[in-house]
Amino acid sequence: MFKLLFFILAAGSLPLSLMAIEPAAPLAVRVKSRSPGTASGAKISSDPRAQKKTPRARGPVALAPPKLSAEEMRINSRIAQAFEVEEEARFGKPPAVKLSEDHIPRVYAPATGNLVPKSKAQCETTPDASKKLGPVRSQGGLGWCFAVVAADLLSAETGKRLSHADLALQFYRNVPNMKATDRFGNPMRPDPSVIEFWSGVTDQAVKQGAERGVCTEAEVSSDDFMLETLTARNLDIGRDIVPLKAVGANVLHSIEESVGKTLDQMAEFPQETCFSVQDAMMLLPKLNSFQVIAALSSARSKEEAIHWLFQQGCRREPLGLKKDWKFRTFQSLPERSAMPGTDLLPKIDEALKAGKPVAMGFDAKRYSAYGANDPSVKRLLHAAILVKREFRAGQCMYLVRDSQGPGCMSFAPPYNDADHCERGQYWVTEQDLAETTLEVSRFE
Amino acid sequence: MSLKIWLVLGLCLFSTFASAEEALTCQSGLYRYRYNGSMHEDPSKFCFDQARSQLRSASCLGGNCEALSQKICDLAAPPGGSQGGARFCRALGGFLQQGAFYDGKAWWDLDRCLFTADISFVDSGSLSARRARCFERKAP
Repeated sequence: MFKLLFFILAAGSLPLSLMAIEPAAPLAVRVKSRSPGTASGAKISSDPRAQKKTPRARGPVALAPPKLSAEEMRINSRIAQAFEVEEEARFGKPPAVKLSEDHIPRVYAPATGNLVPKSKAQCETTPDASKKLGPVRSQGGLGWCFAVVAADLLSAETGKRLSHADLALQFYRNVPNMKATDRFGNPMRPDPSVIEFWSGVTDQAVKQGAERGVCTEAEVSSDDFMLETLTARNLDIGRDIVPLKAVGANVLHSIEESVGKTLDQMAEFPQETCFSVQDAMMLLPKLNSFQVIAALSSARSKEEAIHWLFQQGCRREPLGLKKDWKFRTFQSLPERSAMPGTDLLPKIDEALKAGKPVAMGFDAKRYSAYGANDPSVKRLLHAAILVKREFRAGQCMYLVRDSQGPGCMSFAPPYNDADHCERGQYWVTEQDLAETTLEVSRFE
Repeated sequence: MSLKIWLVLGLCLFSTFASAEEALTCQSGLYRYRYNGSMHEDPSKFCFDQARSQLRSASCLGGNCEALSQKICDLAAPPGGSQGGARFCRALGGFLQQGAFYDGKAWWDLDRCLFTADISFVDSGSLSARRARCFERKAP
């Protein structure tokens, strides 16, 4: 009994002690490295076949559906079914609503490269959309910028601070064929055993959130220190692929080890059990150690325990978006111009004038402290949000809300100086945007 | 003649260091972070800039601390648009904490990369900036 009391108390009081504990064995295998996708999941292809398939329309045109072989479609279908089963086992309920792709339409912008700088009169100050978004988020070392952006935009629509960790986990569970095609619809080989915690598609993440609801940050913490550390167990510098389900896997594995043990058994192995309890609590901060221990000791299977924990920790209420909501993406064709974002600027301006934040997929090399001067970094594909436009220092400038936390040192000069950077957000020129933006997305 | 040159060079070097030091204010304060659903506060002595966008433990002011003595120039750049500083932190053996520091008047959100060997720390963005300087030196 004293042992039990000891580990319950220990569960909430030893922040640094876990650092020395060896990580749980990873559940999954690592896959062969391949080039990182964009922040939005798109890939830049140098394949001439890809360019032949590119529509040559003058105005925006609808994106052709991906062309998959029958075998690839069968594999994708099987993966999707498997993930559906897993999702239901874990959370006990199917999506609240099933949405079609009509909610997240994509169109091409022509990328003419004709940039006409705006005068002061043409660049009136827009409302600061960041006021709807709360503090700047931090993505840590993970490649989930797309989920941060999607969570921020959904938060702006719903008025709740939604969890980008939950949104990313849902995305990786439910969009298994995200890597099945590149941006030109060319099939890529889907790998049913792999979920990469590295890149994603902003609009698909928005769709997942709208279908299934998203936990709030208070329910599923995205920036808990130990959540970061857990993830880091699978992260090594230089690896471009993070082994599976980086956030969830170790936690779930740890929970699995404890399921079905009686309280007496738990008391015999306090450190092991303590680790599981802490894992569950950091993923679901609203649960206390007693609730977690009760779930672990009474559940008959891992699924049952996890189902119970998530049901108690986060109910994923529907987001309450308007029935006719649309999240439209305008995609440029970077092969056509050195300034692929030129024709995306009017789309950005429209939204900012209406006080709406705009998601942006872009090449962040010039803005990044670690990427700007490093000759080994050819391109840094990233996602962020544009929140304001203003005429500053004689030119029209845009405020980028990044996900590197509230500091400025992650950005390269001059974007990190006091004239450009404001607590994790930095000003860029319209020329910068024209040269680096690859796609923009916004709620209509 | 050469003595004058050395004197001028010395003054230049001194003013560079001096201005870098001046940019940071050092004091005793608190760093808080959430762990296991609850807040923890560590008292420590640290330094920060006027915009509160840089943070380092006072022990790092002269650069002689674990957080700043690691060989960051040897690290490869992480691919994609992740927060490079966070990955550098881990690769160097540090622990990333996402929290806030108290400067006596207000709490300022800023992460820190903590090195347990000497309990020194620096914000992750400063690690990225430090690595960027590796390439500046190599430039002709």
